[in-house]
Amino acid sequence: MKDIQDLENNESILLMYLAGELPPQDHAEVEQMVMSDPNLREQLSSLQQMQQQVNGALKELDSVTCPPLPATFAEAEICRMIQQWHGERERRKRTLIVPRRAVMPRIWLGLAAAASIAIGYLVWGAYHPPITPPGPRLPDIAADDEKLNLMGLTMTVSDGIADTEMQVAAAMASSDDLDGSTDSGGHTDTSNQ
Amino acid sequence: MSDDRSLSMQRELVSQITAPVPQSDEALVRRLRDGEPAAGELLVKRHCTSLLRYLQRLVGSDHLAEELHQQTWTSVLENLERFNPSLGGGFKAWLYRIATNKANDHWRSRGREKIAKEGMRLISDELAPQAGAGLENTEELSKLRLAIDLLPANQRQVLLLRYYSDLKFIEIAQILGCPLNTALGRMHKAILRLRQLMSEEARGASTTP
Repeated sequence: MKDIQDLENNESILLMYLAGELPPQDHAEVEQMVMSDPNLREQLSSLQQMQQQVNGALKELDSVTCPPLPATFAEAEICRMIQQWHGERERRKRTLIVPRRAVMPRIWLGLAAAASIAIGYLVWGAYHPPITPPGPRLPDIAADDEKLNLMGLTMTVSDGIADTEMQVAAAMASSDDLDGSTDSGGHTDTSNQ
Repeated sequence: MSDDRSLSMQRELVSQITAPVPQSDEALVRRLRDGEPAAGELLVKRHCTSLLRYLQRLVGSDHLAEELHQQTWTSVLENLERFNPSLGGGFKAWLYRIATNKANDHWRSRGREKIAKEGMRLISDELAPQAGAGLENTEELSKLRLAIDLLPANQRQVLLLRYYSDLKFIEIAQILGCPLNTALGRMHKAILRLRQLMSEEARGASTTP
């Protein structure tokens, strides 16, 4: 629309008017001007005549000269091009699908590898049970100690363990003594008897 | 009586609805893109002859016109996915823009002078009368053809685009990449020059005994 507003001369406006390409409002305005201005009317009539003459001459020229190619031949040639283009396009589409199929085994291969690793780990895990570290037990003992203290007992579990350990140590020492006496005499000491 | 009338009206309505509506170029392009080559063939039937004629008059050589015509359609097919009807006119404007660009590229690559010489030679080659044409008529028309070829390229383009493509001036200006006012000015000059030449011819013919 801006281009139409920028039309500089009468010829341009009249050409647009003759072609019926002016906006309705401008068309009506030009029509009114042509009606009232005889010079403009003459200009319009001359332009119209020239245009008709040139169009007529071009039409005549086309009627007596052959096109570069017979219409049917030219059409057939382009249609053949379209068919070829379509065929290639379809082929390209198919080749785009094939790699997708080829990619599938790769995906399965990856999944199979992941599954075998997982199974291997499980099997290994079944024969090697996890070793629980002794550390976490200490707080439990402490907690038990507290419980026992609350109950008013003087001996705690840890003390009990310590006692047990001492008892075990004593037992081991006594067994050592026993062994030692056996070893020295080869038999029990009977000197007191 | 009224039943008959309503029945006939209904039939008329149905026939109007079911009558084949010619599809727009853009709809055919969409169908072609969707994999329907028959739609492309319809497009070719619509535009092939006028495009070929446009190129024939634009370059002044049958052989070159044929070559450029083929190049144009090849380009159309190659760029079909990129065609956007909302940008710069419809399919016809796009088709003629490609054809005009092909002709411009050719001129640029071969050099204007060489082409002008070649064009003149081809025009003289084509002066032989064709079947069904009167001698006088042929001579006049040959001169008209020569006059078209002698028009400055930019004036010739506007004139021929208008005549063969029947595009609006505003679309022609878009194709040529110039303001509407410039395109209209070129059109006016081209008409004046051709008319001048034709009136000279007419005067010459009337003075000869």
